[in-house]
Amino acid sequence: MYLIILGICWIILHIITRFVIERPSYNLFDLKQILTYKLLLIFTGFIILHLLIIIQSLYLLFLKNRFTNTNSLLYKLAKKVSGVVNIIYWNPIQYIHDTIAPHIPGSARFFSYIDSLWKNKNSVFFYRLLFIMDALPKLIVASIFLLEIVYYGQIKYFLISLSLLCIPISFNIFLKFFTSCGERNFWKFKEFFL
Amino acid sequence: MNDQNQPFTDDIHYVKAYYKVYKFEVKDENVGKIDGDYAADIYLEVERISRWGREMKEDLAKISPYISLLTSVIYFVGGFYRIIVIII
Repeated sequence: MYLIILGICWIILHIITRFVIERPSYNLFDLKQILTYKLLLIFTGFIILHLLIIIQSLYLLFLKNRFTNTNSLLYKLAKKVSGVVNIIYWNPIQYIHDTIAPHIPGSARFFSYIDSLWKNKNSVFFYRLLFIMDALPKLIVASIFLLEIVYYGQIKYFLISLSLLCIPISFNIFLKFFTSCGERNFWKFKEFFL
Repeated sequence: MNDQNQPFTDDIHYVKAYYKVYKFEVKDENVGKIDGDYAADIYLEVERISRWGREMKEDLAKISPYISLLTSVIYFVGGFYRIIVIII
């Protein structure tokens, strides 16, 4: 029961933060006069968060193979953190997905149509698709942030451009439903044959 | 590929997909209960869908750290520069 309640809460929270909350735009020079320790702390937190993401990405890319000792404190800590995140976040979302995915009307027909479109495409098409649907929106938003904050000293268009991040999120949701539709039905049809 | 609506006559079905030809043999208990050609077509289709989905997820997992690294460096540089300018 906790899975369905927590799952619905997470989905509602995502919808509210992405679509409902209106973000005020700031001119950072105007902000300077009313700059409080709280705002500085939030801004510093944002920078530290990205520093942590950089470290994590570097770890994933280059150092992962060097630190695979399962007895190390870092490994155990990472396992515990991912376990907690699974219980609080991923398991409820997965439960909601498993509950609703098989019952979405017309979804299998839609995925079958997508399959007919993609049937004769080569791997270059899929790399382009992934780049356009996942990487490009993120890079555009980050570039707008850099240009605006360094050159213009404001974050007006950056906040508007954040809506672009709905594209990778929607694509990931689509991919999840697409894959699970295939996997769910694969075993059903496999049973018919030797 | 046979017409999907054509009544099946035996329990062995041949389905052409791209440049390959697959041979499917229906289990004895399902003979006469399912349309073998249609089921074989759908079986190939769902196999393709799940494979594509898995491969795209794997490819995304491969490129994601690079994208995260790049965007985070951009956010870090921009944010750090601006906070220094504001404080000074």
